[in-house]
Amino acid sequence: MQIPLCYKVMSHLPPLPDEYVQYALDTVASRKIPKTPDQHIPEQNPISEVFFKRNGETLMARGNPRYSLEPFFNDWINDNITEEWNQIGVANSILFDESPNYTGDSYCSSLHSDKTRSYALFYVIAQSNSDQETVFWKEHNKSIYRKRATIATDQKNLEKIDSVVCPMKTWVFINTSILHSAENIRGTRTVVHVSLDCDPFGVFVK
Amino acid sequence: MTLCYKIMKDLPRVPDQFIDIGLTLIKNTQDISASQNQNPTQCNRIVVKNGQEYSTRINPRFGLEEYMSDWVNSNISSEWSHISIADSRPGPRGIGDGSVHGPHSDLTRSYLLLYLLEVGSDNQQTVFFQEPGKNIRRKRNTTVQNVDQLIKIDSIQIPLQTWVYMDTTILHGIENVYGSRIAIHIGFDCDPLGVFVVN
Repeated sequence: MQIPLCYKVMSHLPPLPDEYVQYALDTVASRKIPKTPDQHIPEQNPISEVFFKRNGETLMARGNPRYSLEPFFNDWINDNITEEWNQIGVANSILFDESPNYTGDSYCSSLHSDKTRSYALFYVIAQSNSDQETVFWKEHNKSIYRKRATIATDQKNLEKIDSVVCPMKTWVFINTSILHSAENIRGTRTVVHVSLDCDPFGVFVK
Repeated sequence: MTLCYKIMKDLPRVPDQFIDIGLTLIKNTQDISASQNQNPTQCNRIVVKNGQEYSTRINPRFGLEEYMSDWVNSNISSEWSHISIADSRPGPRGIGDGSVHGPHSDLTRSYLLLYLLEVGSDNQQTVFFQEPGKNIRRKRNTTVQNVDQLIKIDSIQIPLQTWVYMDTTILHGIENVYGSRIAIHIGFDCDPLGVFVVN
């Protein structure tokens, strides 16, 4: 099986200036952290309770509500990254620990393709532990690229095909139409996202 | 060179029963408000080509999912975002001869498989463009008014009843369309090369 490009560390893309990082952190801090999915709807990434099986155990996935950073970020992203984005936001990984369905320790997101985009640039701005990993999966007898909002319900049907520990404050391209999950999240994970519907290679300013 | 299109000769022909359903659906659905894709602003769009103004053609699309999903899943791919039949027609403002669908990136998908059923003229061309100083691939629903300012990067005369892959994030337009142009569309948000049942 030929493994396609799941991710690429884009070290040549410029770092976000401090004022933008602070704006993104302030945006997250200004939101009440939802303890159940229905407590509020983030603008860019509607969240819901998702369950999946890992090693026979049913787990509730972490949520990843994403809040808009537009229009504050628009000009800087247009001038330094690309004009071809469809959303700019900040995502904050959370536990739904007041949900009656909460399953206890939950260190990972769901195993999914994204709902609102085909590709993304991630830029990690806060993390509780440095071994948080984005893992890419292929479901047996299925294509590597999947339609939007595909969710795998049992990890036993998946094969791990690649992974990356996204370095802090570095742009990382992610093909979000490949099933993926964020793993080993032991607390905080806050990431600026630039979302794209067109293949971004060739569209970057640098 | 960027892959703008690819003729997918290995993909199977659409059975007649689905073509009949699609054509009947168009015949019975003339109201474009039932369309899956038609951006109302596009209906009044004017483009300039060879210094002349044209009302851009519109291309309302009507859903075939309830009829064709199983066949597409089994024979083409299960990773589609929509299956529809599109009925290109001259724009309502009636400027020019109605032969041009102006350059645009698509509103509702990143990639497309197109299967042309009917075309009113033999020399219709799907033309791919780059806007000078801009990227080849563009965000959704990007339009350019003046065709004369664009760089033509590729073109294809799409054959009848053959699946053709297109990267619809690249600016593209249709030229020399006289009369009808009816096609089945399978839209994708993920790159479909690699997801076909028959590759």
